[in-house]
Amino acid sequence: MTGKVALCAAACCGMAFAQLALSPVSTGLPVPVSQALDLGSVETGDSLTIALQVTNTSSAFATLSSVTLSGVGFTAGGLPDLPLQLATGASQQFQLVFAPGTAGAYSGTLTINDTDSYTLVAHATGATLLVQQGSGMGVLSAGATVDFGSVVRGSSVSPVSLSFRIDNPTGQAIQITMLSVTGDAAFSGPLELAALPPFRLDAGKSAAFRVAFSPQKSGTAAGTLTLNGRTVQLTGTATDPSFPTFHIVCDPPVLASGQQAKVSIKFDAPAPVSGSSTLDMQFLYGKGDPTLLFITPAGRSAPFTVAAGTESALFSGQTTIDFQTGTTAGTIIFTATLGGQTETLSLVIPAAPVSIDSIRTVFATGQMTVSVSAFDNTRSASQVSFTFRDASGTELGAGMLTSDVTSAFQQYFQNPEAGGNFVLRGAFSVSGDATQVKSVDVGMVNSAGTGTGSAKITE
Amino acid sequence: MRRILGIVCLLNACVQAQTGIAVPRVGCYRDRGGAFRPLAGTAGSFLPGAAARTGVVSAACWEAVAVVKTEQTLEILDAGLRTVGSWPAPAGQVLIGLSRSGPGALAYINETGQLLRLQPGSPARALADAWTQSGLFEDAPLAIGSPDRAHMDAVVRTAAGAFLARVSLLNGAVSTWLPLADLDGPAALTPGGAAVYAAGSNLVIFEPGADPRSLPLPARLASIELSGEGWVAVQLSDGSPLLAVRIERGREGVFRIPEAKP
Repeated sequence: MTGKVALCAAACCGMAFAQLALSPVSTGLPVPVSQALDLGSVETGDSLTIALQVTNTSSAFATLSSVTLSGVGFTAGGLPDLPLQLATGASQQFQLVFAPGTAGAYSGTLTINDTDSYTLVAHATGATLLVQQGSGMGVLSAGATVDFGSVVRGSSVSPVSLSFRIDNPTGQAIQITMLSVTGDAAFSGPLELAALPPFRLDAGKSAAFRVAFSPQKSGTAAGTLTLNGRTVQLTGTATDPSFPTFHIVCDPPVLASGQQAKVSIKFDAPAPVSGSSTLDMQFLYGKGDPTLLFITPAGRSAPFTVAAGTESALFSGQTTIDFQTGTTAGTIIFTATLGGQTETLSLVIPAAPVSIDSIRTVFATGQMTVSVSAFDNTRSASQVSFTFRDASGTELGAGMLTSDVTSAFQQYFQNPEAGGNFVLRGAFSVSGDATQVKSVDVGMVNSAGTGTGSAKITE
Repeated sequence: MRRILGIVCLLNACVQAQTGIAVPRVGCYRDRGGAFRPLAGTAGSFLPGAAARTGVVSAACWEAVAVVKTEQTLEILDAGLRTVGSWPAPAGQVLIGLSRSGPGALAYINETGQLLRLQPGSPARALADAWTQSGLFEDAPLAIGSPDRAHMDAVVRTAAGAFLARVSLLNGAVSTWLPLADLDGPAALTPGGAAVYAAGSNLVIFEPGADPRSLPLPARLASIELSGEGWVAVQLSDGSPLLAVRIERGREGVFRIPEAKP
């Protein structure tokens, strides 16, 4: 790498150049002009940073007009815009960075104000790490990032992998004590390495290996390749695969309230890869209905998986999932998103007369209580009637007893904690021989019609 | 015969006082995680409630009474699932025989072979003598019932097959002995005296004096527990979600109970 800092000089008219001294910040001792500044040695792929300062050692203002750097592996940073006026004794600091790509001796030149030049020398030792770049190999500096690019997750074709190589350009054997790949499980390696660390890499020899990227989930994955304490970042992006067109299928296809039904997800062709997502259920009705839910797990969202080569999604290992249609008229919308494809299925639950589930009677002295368990999916119940009959079916008492329950139900359904479900308890005063009452007919009126039910009374 | 003089509807008074309409309750049940929960709603539109007890190993629920067995306790619960009676009990499962009248119950401790009468306000009373006096049961019963204070019903299996027996708790005399065809799994007895049992992957409902009814289920049965008037909770051997099976004559049905979060 060639580092070169060339900053324009702008001399102040009428002012003579003053003396500027270069020194390491750590020592403060000026480096004589034309003397070599030895930065020391660093392991290949690592970097070395040294803080330098330019100090005005004259008794007048001096101008720092340029700092120029040349030489492979050297860079400078932290300099302000130049020219810069420095008062007597004032300093300006900057950083000199040495980041060699391969082992060997390095040299460069640092020039202040185009007049004072300093020779820079440094050495790089240790192994060189290289990565496949097109048809060749490129040197990796410590902290560099290797991007595996974007791949389809779970791809059944060969995973993406890159070739790496460790070179020993020095004249001595190097001990490779650590070579590992950590981080996201999408990265695996080192693969195809002739010998696992620790191993000895003789002078002039190389060791090749590969790192594979085979993500199973979408998103960005990050890993780390470590060579003898030197680290290189690994990154890659996984995208969702394209799944065949899928459909959400309900069995039965036409629904009513109070049912338990099954729903499934079917593909037009076998899925090329495995995947997972959720099937979500929404209900278009203002007050909701807690009895509209999947059975397992109870709720409005059900996870599913798709195995490669199959044409049906699996819910807890089953190709269908049970759900309750609830007790409220409205529209149920199932939605599933997989591989960028979103499918929905809308099912209309039509308004219906009150559905009476059970009628139970309890006798006490002079009084009978009739409990009617039912649901009203319109939540508009307005009238209830009871007709008691004897063993021959003849109406007893005054015949049909009717009651307006509009306001009571309006109040009850303000808080639909059980959807359209309710139990209505009617109390009746009975005079005479209560054992004659053998059955009761119940009718309930709502906005969709009249629902009826009857029960035998056995005691 | 007395004649009906009149039936007067008091409903308006009830609903105006907001006491006449409420959330319906199917019953209560022990879920697969051992939590005992109320089950609200209507058939096929269930809403499991919050766990009233956890660590329950056996349970039965009918109308307004429930009995639960935890590892160390037998409890009778009222309709609000409040404890009305509690007794220490050895670990393990029990058979529960709910009473047709009132909150009393029978419990058969599988581990010890003890038969107990549970009555709120009284210590548990052992009925072992009456049980052994019958001399009919070499093995433990599969289910028990409590038709009245003087008798117990039991589903028993003998070398000759399975039978529904009514046994006197006073002297062990057997007054009824009815064969239960094809029984090969768990069983339960309702307070009304009906036997509900497994026959392969069918649930058979046997009421003395009536033809048995059979409901096909998706798999063999692992357990049957009473879960409300006219309902049993059935766990299948395939590990699928609990079933709520309606056993009421003419209204039979098989439903799945939504699996409440723990």
